[in-house]
Amino acid sequence: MGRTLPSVTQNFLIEEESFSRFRRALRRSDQLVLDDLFASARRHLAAAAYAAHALPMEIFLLAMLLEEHKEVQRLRAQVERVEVLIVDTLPDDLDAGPAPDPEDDQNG
Amino acid sequence: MAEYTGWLIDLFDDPEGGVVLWLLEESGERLRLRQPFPVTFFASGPSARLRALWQYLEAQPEPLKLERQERRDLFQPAPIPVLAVEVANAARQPRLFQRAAAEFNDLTFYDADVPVALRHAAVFGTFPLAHCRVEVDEKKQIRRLEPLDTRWTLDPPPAPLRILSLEPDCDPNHGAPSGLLVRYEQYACRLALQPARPLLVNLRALLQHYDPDLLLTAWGDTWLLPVLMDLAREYNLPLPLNREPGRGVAIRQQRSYFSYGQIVFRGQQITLFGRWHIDRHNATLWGDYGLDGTLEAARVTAQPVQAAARLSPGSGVSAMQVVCALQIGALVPWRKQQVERPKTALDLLHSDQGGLVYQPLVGLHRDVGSIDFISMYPSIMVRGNISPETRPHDPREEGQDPPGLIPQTLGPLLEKRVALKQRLGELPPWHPQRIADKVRSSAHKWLLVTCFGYLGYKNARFGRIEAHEAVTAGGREALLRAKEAAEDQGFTILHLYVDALWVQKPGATQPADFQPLLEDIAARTGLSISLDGVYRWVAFLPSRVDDRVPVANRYFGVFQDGSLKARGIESRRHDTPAFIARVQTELLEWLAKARDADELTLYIPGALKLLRSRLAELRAGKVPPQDLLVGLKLSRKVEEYRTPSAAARAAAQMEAAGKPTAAGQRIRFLWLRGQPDVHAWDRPDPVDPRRLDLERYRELTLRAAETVFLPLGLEPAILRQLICSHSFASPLRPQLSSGGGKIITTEAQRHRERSTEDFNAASLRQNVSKVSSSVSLW
Amino acid sequence: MNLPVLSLSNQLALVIGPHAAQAQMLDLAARLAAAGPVRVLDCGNQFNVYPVARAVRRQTAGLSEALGRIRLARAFTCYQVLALLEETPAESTPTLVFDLLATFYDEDVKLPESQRLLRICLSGLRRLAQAAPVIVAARPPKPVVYAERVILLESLRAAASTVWETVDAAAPSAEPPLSLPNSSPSPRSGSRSTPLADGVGE
Repeated sequence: MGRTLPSVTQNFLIEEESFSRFRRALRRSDQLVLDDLFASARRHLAAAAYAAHALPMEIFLLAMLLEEHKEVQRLRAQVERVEVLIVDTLPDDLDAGPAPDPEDDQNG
Repeated sequence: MAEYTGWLIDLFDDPEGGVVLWLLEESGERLRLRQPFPVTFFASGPSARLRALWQYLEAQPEPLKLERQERRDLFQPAPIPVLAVEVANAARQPRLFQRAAAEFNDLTFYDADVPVALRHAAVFGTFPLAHCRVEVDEKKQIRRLEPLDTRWTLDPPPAPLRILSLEPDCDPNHGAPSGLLVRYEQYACRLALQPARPLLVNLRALLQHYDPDLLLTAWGDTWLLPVLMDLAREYNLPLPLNREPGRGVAIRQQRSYFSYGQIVFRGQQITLFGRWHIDRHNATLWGDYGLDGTLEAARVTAQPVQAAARLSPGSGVSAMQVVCALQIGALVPWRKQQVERPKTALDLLHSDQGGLVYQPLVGLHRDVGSIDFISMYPSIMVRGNISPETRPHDPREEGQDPPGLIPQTLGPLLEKRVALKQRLGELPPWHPQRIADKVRSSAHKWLLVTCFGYLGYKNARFGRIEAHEAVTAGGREALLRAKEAAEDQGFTILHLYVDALWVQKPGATQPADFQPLLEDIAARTGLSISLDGVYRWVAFLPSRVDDRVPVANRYFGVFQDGSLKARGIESRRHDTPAFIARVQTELLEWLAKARDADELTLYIPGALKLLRSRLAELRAGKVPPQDLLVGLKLSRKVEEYRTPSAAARAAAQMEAAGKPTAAGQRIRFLWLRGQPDVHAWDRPDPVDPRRLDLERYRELTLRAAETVFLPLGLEPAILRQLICSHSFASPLRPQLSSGGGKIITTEAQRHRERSTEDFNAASLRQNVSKVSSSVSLW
Repeated sequence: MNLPVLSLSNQLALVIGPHAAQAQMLDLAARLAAAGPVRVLDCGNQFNVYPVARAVRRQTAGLSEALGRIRLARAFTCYQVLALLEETPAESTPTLVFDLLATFYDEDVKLPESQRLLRICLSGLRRLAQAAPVIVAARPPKPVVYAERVILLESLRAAASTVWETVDAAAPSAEPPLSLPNSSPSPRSGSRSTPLADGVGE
C-alpha cells in the first residue's frame, strides 16, 4: 500500500540483468567470476536500500569493491601468517646460505 | 425500576427506533432490553449547499433534528462549520444518508456509515461481553447504563456462556454428510440428517430449551445453516436460530477481493440476532486464537462478536479508530479523501522504503542472543506521536503536539499487550491461565501488526501515507541505533530484520550477559526491547536457488531451554504436506536434544536414521493420503489462467465436479503419477492410493531434510548417498563459530578460501611444504 | 532543452498506450526536470524514480538538483485524484499526470460515479492547462471491463487538444518517440521537428 518504487532487490536484479549481454560474451569461467561479484554485492542490499541513492548501481559497485577488499585483507593476513610460519620452520643454520629456489629448476 | 447486572451479548438497531440490547444477567436469565439511541451524521461544504441540504432533509419523512455546528476534522487545522443531522431512529439513518449523499454528492459527509455498536461504544463505553449495570423501567427500556469494566481490563469476570456446537459428520466439500454432531455442556449426540422432520423438531427443541448464546458450527456459513434453513422452509418447521423474535437471519454473499496485494476469498456469511453464530471454518484466524481470541478481539475493538469473527484485523483496527475519534469529538470521514502533500523525487527515494532487511551471515552459530523490539511500529506510533494530524518526533523526546488519534487509539491496546506478555513470562509453563492468555495475546498481536499497514492503506479513513512513511523511517532509525549499541559493546551482528537483532560476543552465553545491551538500546531508541532468548545454536539458511545468496527470513535454532524456533522453512509454510512438515519437525526436535552446539554431531546419525525410517514408511504406502495434501492458493479465477498451475488444474477438477472455486481459495490436492498429475481433495471420488506420486513426495521430503542438514555441513549429495546406503558413521564435524565470531559458511565447504576461520597452525605445518613450493622466499 | 515546453503551449495533451506510456512519461519527466521544475500527479502508482534518475544523468551531472525539481503527489483512489486536482494550484510549471484512469476503472466504483468524478477532474485539468502545459497519460481498460469502461477513455480523449498513441510496448526499439507536431494534432507522432524525447524509455 503506497509503495511506488521497486525494492532494492528488484533494482539489483534489474541491474544484474542489464549486464546480461556483457556476461554472455564472456568466457564461461569469467562468467562465474562475474556471478561471484554480483553475489557479493547482494550481501549488502539492506545498506544499499538505506542509502536511498538515485543511481543504485553505484552502491552495488561499491559493495562489490567492499567484498573484494575484505578478501584482499584476509589474503594479506593469511600470507603474513604463512610467511611467519615458514620462517619458523626454516633450519637454524641459516648462514649456510639461502634456501634453494625451486624455480631455479625451471630457469635456464 | 429494576436493576440488573450482567454481560452484554448483542446490540443492534431496533426498526422501531433506538437499540436492542441482549444482556446475560448474572442470575442466568437472558434479557432483551431497549434503549433510545438517536444517531447523528454531518455534512460540510459551501453554505448555500448546506442550506439546500437542510431544506431537503426537512422535507424527509423521518423525524430529524437539524443544527449548525462546528466540529473538528483531523485533516484540517481548525474546526469546520457543519450541518448536524440527528436521526431519532438509528435503523433509518443509513437509508436517509444514502439518499442525501446521492442528491448532494458534492458535499463532504462525516459519521455517516458508522455501525450502531461502535456509536454506542463511543457514547457509553460498551463492547461485547462488557460487564454492566443497567436500570430498566417496566417497559424494559434502559434508563441508566453503567459499564463496570473496560475493553482494557486485564482479567474481566468471565461470562457463563452457553455454547451449542453443531457440525456435520464429514466435510461437506469432500463428501455427503449423513448426520449432525451436536454438543453442549457435557452432552453429545448425533442427529441423522434424514429424515428431516425429526431433525428439525429436535433442533428446534434444543434451541428453545438450551437457548445458547453461541452457535458454534463447522461449515455453518457455507453449508450447514443454509441446508437447515432450506429444510425448515420445505417442511414448514421454522428454526428459531435468532433469539430476537420477528427478525430473519442476516445473509451476506461470498466474495473475492484484493487486499494488501493478495487475493482474499470470503465465504458466504450467516449471522444471527440476539445470539452469535461462528463458523469455525470461516472465522478469521480461528486456527491462531480460537474462541477466546475472537472474543478478546471483539472486546478490544468494540466490534460485535460475529463481525469480529469474520472480518480481518484491518476492520478491527478501523473500528478502534472510529470509536476513539467519536470519543474525542473528531469527525469520522465517510470516504478517504486525504491526499498526499507533494514531495520531491528525492524525498520519495528516502521515504518509500520498508523496514531494514539484512542478509544474515549464513551458517551455524552458537550462543546467539535474539533481541526484539516489543511491538516496534505501534510503539513508534504511540511514543513518536505519529498520526495523520500530528508532527512526529523522536520517541526519546517530547513532541510539540498533543497526542493524536492514532496514539490515543493504540496506547491502551499496547499497554494491555505488554501487561499480558509480561504476565505470560512470569507464569510457570504448566499454568492453565497460560493458554487463555496466549490466545488473547495473539489477538492483540494481530491487531497491532495490522495497524501500521492500515495507516498507509488507500481506503483507511484515518490513513495518511506520510504517517506510514514516518513509521518505517522511525523503525529504520531505531534498528540502526540498536546495531550501533551492539557494536559499541563489542557484539558481532549476525542478522538484522526490521525489528529484531541476532548478536554474539565471546563469553556472552546467559541472558544476564545481554542485559547491559538491552538497557543501552532502550536508552538510545526510547522504545521497549526484550531478549527473545539465547540460542544454543542457530542456523541461518541460504537461498534454495543459490547458496551464496543469504535469505533474510529462513532459519532454525534451539534456545537454551530446549525449545525450537524456525522460520521460513518447509514445516512453517502453509502449502507443505503434513507428513513432510512432521518429518522436518521431528528431525529438528531430535537435533534439539543436543545440550550444546558441540554435541550436535552426535545426534546426526540418529537424525539420519529417523529420516530413513520415515522415507521407508512413505515407500511402503503407510502414509495416509490426507497427510500428503498440498495446499496451494489460486491466484486468480480458474478461467483466467493461460497455463494452469497445479492448483488451477486441481480447481478445474473441482469445478467439473460441481464445486465452484474462487480466486484466493486454497486448493488441496495430491500429486499423482502420469496424467492427470493432480487429484483435487475435494472431489467426490476418492483417490487411488496406488497412483500417488511417491517418488515426488520422497523428493520433497528429502529437500525438507536437506534444509535441516545443510547448515550442519551435510551437503545434499552426501545426504542422499547416506540415505540410500546404510552407513551410519558421522562423516564430518561441523565447525561452529565460537564466541569469537568466527563462522563457517556453506560457501566455505565449496570455497575454503572464503572462510574467515583462522588456519589451524598444526594443519598448516602439514601443508607448509606445498605452500613453500609456490611462495618465493627471500 | 527548453524548446519543448515553449512549443507545447498551454494545452491539455493526452498520451494513450498500454501501461499508460509509463516509460515515455518517465523519460519526459527526466528531460523536463533536467531543465526546470515539473509537477507530477501520479494516479497509478507509476512514478519509478530510478529510470528518471538514469535518464537525467545521461543529460546532466546535476542529478540531485534535477530530482529536487520534480514535485510529486500520489492518488490511490479516484476520490483522491479528485481531491488532488482540487488542491493543485494553476502554476506556470508543466504538469505530467501518470495513468489518470487507473482508479476510475476500478470495479468497486460504479460507472456513473466514475463518470461523474472524471467530469470534475477534466475541468480541473483544463484549469491547470490554462497556465502551463499538462500532459496526461492513460491506458485503455482491461479486456474484462473494456466494453463498460472505455467510455471514460473516450471522455478523456474528447477533452484533450492533442492526442498521441503509442503502439507496441513489447518492442521498445520500435516505439515512436513522443514528439510534438507543430500544427494540427495527429493520432501518431509523424513530424519530428521538435522532438520532446529522443529515444525511448526502458
